[in-house]
Amino acid sequence: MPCEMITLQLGQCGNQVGFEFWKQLCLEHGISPQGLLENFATEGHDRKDVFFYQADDEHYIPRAVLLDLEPRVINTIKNSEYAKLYNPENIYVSAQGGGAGNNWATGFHQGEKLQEEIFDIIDREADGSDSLEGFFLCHSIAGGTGSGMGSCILEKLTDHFPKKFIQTYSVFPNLDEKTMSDVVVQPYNSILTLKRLTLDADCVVVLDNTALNRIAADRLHIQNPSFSQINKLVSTIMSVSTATLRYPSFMNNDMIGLIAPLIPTPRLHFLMTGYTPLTSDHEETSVRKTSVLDVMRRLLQTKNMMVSTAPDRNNYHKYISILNIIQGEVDPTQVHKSRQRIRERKMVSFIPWGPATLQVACSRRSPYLPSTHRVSGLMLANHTNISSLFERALLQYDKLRKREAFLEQFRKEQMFENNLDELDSSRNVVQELVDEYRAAAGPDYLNWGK
Amino acid sequence: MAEFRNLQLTAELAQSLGISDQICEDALNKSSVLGKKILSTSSAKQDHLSKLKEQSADPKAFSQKYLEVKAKSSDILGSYVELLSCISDDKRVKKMLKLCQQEEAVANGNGQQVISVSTEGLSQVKNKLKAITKEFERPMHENQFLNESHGVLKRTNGTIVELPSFPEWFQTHPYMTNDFSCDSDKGGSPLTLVKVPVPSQEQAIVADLINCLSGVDGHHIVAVPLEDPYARREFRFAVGMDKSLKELASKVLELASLYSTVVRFVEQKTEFHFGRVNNSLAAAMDEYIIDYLAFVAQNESQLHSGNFGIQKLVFNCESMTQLFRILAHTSQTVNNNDARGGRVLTLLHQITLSMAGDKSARDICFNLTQKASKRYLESLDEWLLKGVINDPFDEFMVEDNQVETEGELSTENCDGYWEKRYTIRKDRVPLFIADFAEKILRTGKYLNVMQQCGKRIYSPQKSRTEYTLHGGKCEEVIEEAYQFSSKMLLELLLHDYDLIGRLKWMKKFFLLEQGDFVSRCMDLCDETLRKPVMDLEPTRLDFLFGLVLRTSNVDTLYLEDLHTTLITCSLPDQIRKIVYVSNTDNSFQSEELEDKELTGYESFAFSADVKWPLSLVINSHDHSRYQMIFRHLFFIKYVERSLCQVWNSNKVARRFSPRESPLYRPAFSLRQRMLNFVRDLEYYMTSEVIEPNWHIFMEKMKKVSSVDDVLTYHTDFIDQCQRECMLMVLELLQPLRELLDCIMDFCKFILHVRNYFVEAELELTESFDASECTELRGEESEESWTSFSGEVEKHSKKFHSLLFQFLDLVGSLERDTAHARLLLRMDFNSFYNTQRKGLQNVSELSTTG
Repeated sequence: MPCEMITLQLGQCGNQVGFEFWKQLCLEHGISPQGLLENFATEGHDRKDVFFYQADDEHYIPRAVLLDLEPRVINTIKNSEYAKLYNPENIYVSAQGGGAGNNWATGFHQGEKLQEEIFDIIDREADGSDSLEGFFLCHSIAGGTGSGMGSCILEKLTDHFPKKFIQTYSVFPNLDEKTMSDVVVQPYNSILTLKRLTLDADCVVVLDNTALNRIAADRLHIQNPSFSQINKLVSTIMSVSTATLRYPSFMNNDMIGLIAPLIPTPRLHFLMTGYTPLTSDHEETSVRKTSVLDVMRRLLQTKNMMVSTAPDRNNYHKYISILNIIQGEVDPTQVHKSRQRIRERKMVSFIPWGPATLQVACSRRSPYLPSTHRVSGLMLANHTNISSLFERALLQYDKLRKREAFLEQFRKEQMFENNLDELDSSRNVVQELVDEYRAAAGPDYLNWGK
Repeated sequence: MAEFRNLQLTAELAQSLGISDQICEDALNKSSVLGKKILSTSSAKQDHLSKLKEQSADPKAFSQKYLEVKAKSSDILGSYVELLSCISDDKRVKKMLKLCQQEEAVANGNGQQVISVSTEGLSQVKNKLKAITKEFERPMHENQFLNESHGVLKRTNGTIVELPSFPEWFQTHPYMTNDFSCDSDKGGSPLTLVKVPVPSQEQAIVADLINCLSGVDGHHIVAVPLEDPYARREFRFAVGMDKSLKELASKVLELASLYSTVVRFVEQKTEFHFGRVNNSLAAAMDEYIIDYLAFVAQNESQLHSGNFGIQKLVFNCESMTQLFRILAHTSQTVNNNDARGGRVLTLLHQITLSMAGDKSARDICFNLTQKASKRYLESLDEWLLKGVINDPFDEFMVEDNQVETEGELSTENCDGYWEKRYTIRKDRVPLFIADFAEKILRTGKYLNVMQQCGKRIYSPQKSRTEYTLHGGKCEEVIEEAYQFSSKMLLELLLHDYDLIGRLKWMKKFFLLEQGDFVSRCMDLCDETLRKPVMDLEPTRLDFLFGLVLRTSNVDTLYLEDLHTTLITCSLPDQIRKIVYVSNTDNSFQSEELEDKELTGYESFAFSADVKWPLSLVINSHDHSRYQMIFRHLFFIKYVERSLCQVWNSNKVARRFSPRESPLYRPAFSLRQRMLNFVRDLEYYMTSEVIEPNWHIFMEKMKKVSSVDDVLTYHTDFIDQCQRECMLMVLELLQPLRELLDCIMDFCKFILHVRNYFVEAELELTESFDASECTELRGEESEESWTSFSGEVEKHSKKFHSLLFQFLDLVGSLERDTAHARLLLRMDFNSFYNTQRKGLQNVSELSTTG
């Protein structure tokens, strides 16, 4: 069947996010941690084959490739109850096991060295699927493995599968000054990775740690959210954004069909997400009335976005496109009414250079997971203000670069032996991206750059 | 038969007005057509009548004739009178009719001579009239359901039923009757009573009268042979009979005459071909005759015991005469109308009601009606409770139109089954159940369907229909039976045949809800479907589709019923044909069809095996409408897919240098607008047309109580979907198709030039110095560049002009809320609206300046 996706999980963050994602998928499809179909889930009308395939003994195996340069996270997975879920051949930990030392260059370099072995796994997985549509890549852009090796794999993947669709779920580091991560070279890592994300990914779902932490604190009332709590948020985003594939309906049954309308020009492919209503395990959920309009309105509020953008005081920035995936008991006429209301109240401002719509896709929800909310919704949006995130990254990069700080580790690697051109070129690409996004908010984007 | 009689009578009526009767028949023909159109009020009728009277040559004869016709309760009389009135008003017509008549007179008078025709036109008119008359007569003959000479019954649906017949000696023995046997030679003059004294006369006459009362000629009183089998019996008295005796005898003879009428009726209507209602009525009357004969016998014995005078006899006869008046009246009414079956019951019911004042008379009538209706109501019960028509003599109100023999219904001929197989014959519905005719029809139909499904379902109902004066009892029984059969069939469809599941299945595949299956189809069949439909091998398609079915892991229920088909008529043509069929005035002209070669994508459609009895709900008409929506959606999906391919091929442009990307941006932007348009169209059709309508449909189905409602709801659903998907009006579909074709052209163009420009571009970006590249590029590629931009510009212009046309068109239809929703979708951020306003301003400026 069409639109089978292979998920690549890279590095500590990528594997942790991936772990939560598969956990979520198993729950939604009624698959036990051992990969067996639960008794209650035998008559599902869902499509498990987007993410799983069946082994000879009928048990479900995720199309997942787990890659890391150090064994810690992968060992945790191997010791969890989900250990038997994965195909052991698809778990690859570098024999050295030393990690990338949070250095992009190290990660990239190791990636190049290991690419043959890694692509053996990927090719086998790709050949094994009946009609592969593309890849998901989970990683963070701050550390070493996810960003460095991730960049390397991404580049090679684009060359290797030029017609396949590649979407990344990229976790951006916490840029909150107070809680800045301990990775000092993070700004370098980010910029270098951003270049690859700009040039080699078809779509990047930006998951901003700053915003995720804020949401955990504000919406879920968790003061010091753990990784797994944050990752749960991420896995929700990931699972809902693929819901229309797994529960097929009239439209949006493949990734390209889902994503293409959101991305008008190839480089402007960084998507923000929002999800509502959010609940957490530890607190008594306060059930409130959720209507379609209510959900759609909440999704347009910045505080619900999983990306912390800079405040846009002049309302300069615009939505290029929006797709809301609404799940639950939805009366189809409600959707139209809500959309009309949003338009009348001018709650969204769209780009002035082309037609743009607030698309709403209604999707089914897993029947096996109880939900306290009648309606829930995910927003995938292409908003020009995402550029502020990149501007911040550029700012931090420039601060370090000016001081020529921490560059020694980079110079050790082949790529930077002779010069730091790669850093400059990366900065350029990111700057161009920022410029293009800013231009896209204006009326003259179609003629911009001529 | 009744019609014939009317024809004859009205012809007579016309003759007394001075109009040729041949034309009159024609007029009648016309008037029956007119009669349907003209609903004249009674006062208007009266007007016409008085007008006619004035103009008539012999007003007295006319009004007499009119009353005569009216007595035979002809239904079309009113409109006929109106027509006549019109004719007599219209001098031209009258003149022509007169001429025609004269000519005929000439023709009749001078048969040998050559007739000089006054004008050629007149003869033509005559010929035409004759032809029409003949045509008019022929179907009448065919409609005649009684073929008396052969003892067979020709049903209205064409089947011929052999009737059981009386033994031959019935005909050959003229004395096998209780009526006067009238041998004309024997029925001579009565014996004379001249010079016989009055007391002796009385004795002889009383004896004669008693004979006459039992249907035998007396010596001095003899029955006059009848000229018409339904005529009133007259008697001839002996010469020289005493006057007062004659008076008294006449009183007794009235009874004899009535008896004669009744007996004739009873004996005639006992024949099989008059139907069971007439038979029963005759039997009911026969019971009275038995009493009557006993009464005659009593009188006779009194006569023999002596001391029995004519006075006594007259007195005795009085109450019996009363009874026989009613019987004779009833039989005459039936005879006059030449009624059978339900019509007889209607007449009886009317007579019963008209006897409201006279209790004993009404009891008699009621008794007759009840007995006459017994067999008919038994048939009705059988129909209501078993769904079987027991109608050996073609008189039941429900008619089975199926010609071929019983058996499993194939999919093809169950089409229209629901509407056509069983119908109500209005003229055969007894008046007292006329209000429930529709319910009766449905009740049996439901049961019948269940029998067709191999289920023998008999209602456990105990109560049976029964004639009552005000229909209360019948209503109860009918209602109960209806509830039962309706419930049973609904349950059968919903549970045994999983109707809802089937409908969902149709929605999944024909309305593309199972989107992944459809994309899978497109994936595997893509290459085949791109070909022109003429070059396409159906076997190859079948093979590929088989592959799709085998490898899909879609819920496999009923999947074996899904097939593919190629419809070689384009979608707009299909609609064109339907439009033409509905306006029957226009004959369909094939030249008006598009002469476009279809691709596989345009003609591909699913087809489903819908088996009996589900085909009742999803009949072939609805099936083809599902197919239309499918083709429309499928093609739009294909366009969307092509645009996504373009999008996917565009992604290489990410690596282009920022200097170059602006050059591609117009193409990207155009692609995106097209994609938005197509997606909005899809969203609109699926989530704003199909889904909400389905929602409404399912809500209604939750509360549905009868199968007819199911049919109505389903038709409403598919109707609404078709309308709102813009598949009803060609004026809307046509521009939409052009727009889609324009998008396809653009996709083909981009995918065609892609390889060529992408490679050129990548080389450039990879080379180090950008300025150097421009030089390297040279003249040739510069040219191809301008041609690329020019081409994109051309596509863009065409797309926008078509789009604006389309949006204007939809805007002009905005009364329909569905279309308003489409507009809102298409232009959510008012981009096109402002752009169009801009364009208008520019054009205004240019025209003023």
